Amino acid sequence: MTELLSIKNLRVRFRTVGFVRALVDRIADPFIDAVLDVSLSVRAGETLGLVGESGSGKTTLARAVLGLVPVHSGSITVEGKELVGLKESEYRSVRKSLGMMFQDPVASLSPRKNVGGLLAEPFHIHRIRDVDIDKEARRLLSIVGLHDGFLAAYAHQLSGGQARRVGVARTLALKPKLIMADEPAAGLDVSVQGEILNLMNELQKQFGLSYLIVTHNLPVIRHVSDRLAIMYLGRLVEQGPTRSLFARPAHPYTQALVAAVPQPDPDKRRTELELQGEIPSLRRRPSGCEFHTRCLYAQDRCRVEAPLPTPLPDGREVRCHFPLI
Amino acid sequence: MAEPLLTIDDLSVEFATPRGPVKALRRVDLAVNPGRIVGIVGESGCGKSTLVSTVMGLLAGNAQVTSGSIVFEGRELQDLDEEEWRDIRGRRLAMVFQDPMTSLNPVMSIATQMIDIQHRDPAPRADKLKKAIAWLARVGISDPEQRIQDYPHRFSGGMRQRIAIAMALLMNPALLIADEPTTALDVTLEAQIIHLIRQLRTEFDGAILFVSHNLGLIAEICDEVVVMYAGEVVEHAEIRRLFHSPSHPYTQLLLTCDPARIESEERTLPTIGGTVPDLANLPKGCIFAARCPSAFDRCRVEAPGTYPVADGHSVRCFLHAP
Amino acid sequence: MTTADTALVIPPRPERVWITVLKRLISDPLGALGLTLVVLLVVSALGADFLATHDPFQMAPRQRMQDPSAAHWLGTDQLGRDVYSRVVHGGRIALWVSLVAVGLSLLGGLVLGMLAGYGPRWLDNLLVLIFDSVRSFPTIMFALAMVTLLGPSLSTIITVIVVASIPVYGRIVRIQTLSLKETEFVLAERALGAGPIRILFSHILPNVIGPLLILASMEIPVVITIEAGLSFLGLGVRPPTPTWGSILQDGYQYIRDTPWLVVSGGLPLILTTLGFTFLGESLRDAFDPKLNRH
Repeated sequence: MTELLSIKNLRVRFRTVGFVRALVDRIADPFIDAVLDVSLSVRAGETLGLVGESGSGKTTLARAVLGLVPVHSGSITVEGKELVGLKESEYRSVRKSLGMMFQDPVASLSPRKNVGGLLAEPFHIHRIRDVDIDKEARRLLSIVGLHDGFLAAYAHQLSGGQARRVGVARTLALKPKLIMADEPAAGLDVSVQGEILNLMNELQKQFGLSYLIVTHNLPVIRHVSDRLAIMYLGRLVEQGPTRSLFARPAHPYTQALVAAVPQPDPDKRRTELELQGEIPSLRRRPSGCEFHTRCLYAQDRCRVEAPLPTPLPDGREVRCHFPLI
Repeated sequence: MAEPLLTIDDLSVEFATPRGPVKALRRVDLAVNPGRIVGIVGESGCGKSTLVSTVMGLLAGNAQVTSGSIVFEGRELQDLDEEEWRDIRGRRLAMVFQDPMTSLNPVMSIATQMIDIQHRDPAPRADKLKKAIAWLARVGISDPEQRIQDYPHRFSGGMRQRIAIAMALLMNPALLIADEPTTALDVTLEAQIIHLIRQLRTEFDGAILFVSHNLGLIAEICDEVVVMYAGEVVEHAEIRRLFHSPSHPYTQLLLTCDPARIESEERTLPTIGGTVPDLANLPKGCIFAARCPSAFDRCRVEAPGTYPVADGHSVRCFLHAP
Repeated sequence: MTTADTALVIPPRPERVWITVLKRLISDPLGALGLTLVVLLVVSALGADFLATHDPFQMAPRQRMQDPSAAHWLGTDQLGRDVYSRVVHGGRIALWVSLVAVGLSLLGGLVLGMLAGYGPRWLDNLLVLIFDSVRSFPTIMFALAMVTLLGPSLSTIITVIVVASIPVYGRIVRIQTLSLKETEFVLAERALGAGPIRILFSHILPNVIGPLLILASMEIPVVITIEAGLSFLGLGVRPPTPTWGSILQDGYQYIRDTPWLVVSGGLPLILTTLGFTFLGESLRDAFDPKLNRH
């Protein structure tokens, strides 16, 4: 199976204080690692869920793939082409294969353009002249189930669901192979979130798309993804087929996440609390295995030594000294 | 049978807008008995926020109660003046908001704020401080003697919500209203807050009105549930009955759509087709008729009343009309 | 494909922004007044040649210092020139100077501000340094220095004003650009592959220009007053060019002989300043969608 996207040992750093301030305040390390040593891949036609809570680095990772944040080290290849180190002009052509759906659908649409203008923009940006842009715009709208009347509408006139569909339509304009979706169901009621997710699913079947879905919504991602990658403090702690991760989590954090989801059944109330404490600050990473401060099963080794990714049966990989399976 | 703490009877609220009056709440009935946790569940536009604002006396300027009554501890809340409201709020009736910063003043230390809440208590300041510190410890803030002097921005989101809960429960109110208290938090923090609320039941015996769109959370802590749709109460039941024998078609569909309830992994998720009706332009008949798979002729013409299904279980649907 | 939410509620073709703004403007008494005054100025400036009764430069020493009469509506000055005609032509100069000065400042501020906001950090720091340095320099001293260097003339005045104003606009544009840079839709455009030029002109500029134009319109009377002030001090336009400032200057010298020169120089200044100020403020309110005053 071809690997569409391959990320190896990716590291993304951000500067937290300016150069002078760091000198004055004697801050030894003015950087934080938002993404640290992450390796994962997405195959053609599959959906990978990137799951994590605040500070996990999942959104930063998605943005790094799109070249929206600078990468410190590591490699990102799309269809075999290395993205790290590319100049902005070279990146432009790569962007055609990568689509992005943003979390806030209305905010991601430029307020001064109408839908027609927004849909035409990808073609103008990439100077694609040999298509009938108007026809394409209509085609894209119909793919996402909106009628032509929407061409004249402005972003603020659209409902959340409609804006999301326009976002999808725009993303599809250049026929990408991989679409990154940042919380595609965020802010949507449970009774309607299926609409956008089902649309994404149909498009996947129709166009052979791959998705990288960034989310913290576990019940949803359990249904719509083939594989999952769980992030904590910028590192991948576990990845593997969705079904097995949910059924038998290997990493204590995965187990805690799964257990933390409230079940809509009063007979399934949780009595024990899986996870105490808060996510540590990125500025003060715990030693050894960074999860040890909250892990129910932490032992001495965990405090000192950082675990390396260990392969497990059925295509899984976990970063833990004492995996649960 | 004890007198209900809060009785909302036939409450209707309207907003004046350029497009005409928006009937945000229509004939809402709700009763909260002492010591119970009542959940209000509904999706966008169902009116749960409006309901909560009305109970707290915090409705916007262009909103108006057009009918009904809200009686709390024997007093009609609509008749209260500002002075009387200040007596009730914080002391008998407290609220925790989705954004903890709604409750926390960014320019005052936590200590100052928590002492301030106790202003009607004649006890000396030192005692009030001790009480506040004790509450911080109870809600899981470590090192409370030191941390109480800090300002809100020095706490993380999860901690701020814990502090907001401590502040709400400080005066041991008879009723705590929690409006989507965990929506802004990560799922592991959410679990902690829910766990905390359950633990606090031993210390806090007041009633809780828990508002959420998350069926899972409702199932976790509520004793009984009210389901709202487009400004109306469509079903009210004990927690188990609601989840195991839902009677209103909306409740049934809502439950089937919840991805956490779907056992096997499904690529295609169910939805409820159609959209929420325009509250400025209400349809005739049952509010849910347009999207209801079981709707029949009567539903489209006449609005149903509330009919009993079982003890403590009522539904606004002709399917259960006698 | 099943689609649920395809109802698009676009209100029936909303009336164009300008018409709404105009309506609101007229309904506000001060706004209407301001608009009238400004229109008056513009008309008289454009039609100066037609509206003037005499040649503003024509001297007639025997008719000097006359009071207003049928022949000379505002009387004559110390050299017998028709004051009214001078005032009318002065208006044209005032308008011209202010439009050019404000226009150039706007352009400069826009370009530099966008560069500072969107460009690399070092460029931003450099430009902010330049902006702040220029702004901290007292304008009058700067004007004096420039006049000494370049000699007094309209171009000097314009240069002074432009250099002093660019940092003001620049800072505003910079702040707006910085905040717009972080918005989700700009990020989305970058994700699509849009380059900085496209983003700046297609997305940032349209969102920045509105408030800037209103600010600029409020600057016009300020510029007119500065010009008048400089001319009054003798640092501005050299005689015999009829600017309001120089008329005021003459009036000041000859105040004992006739008050009409001072009045003729000062009144248009006052009216113009008031006019633009009322107009600008009313415009700002009229544009603000949150002020629903109907």
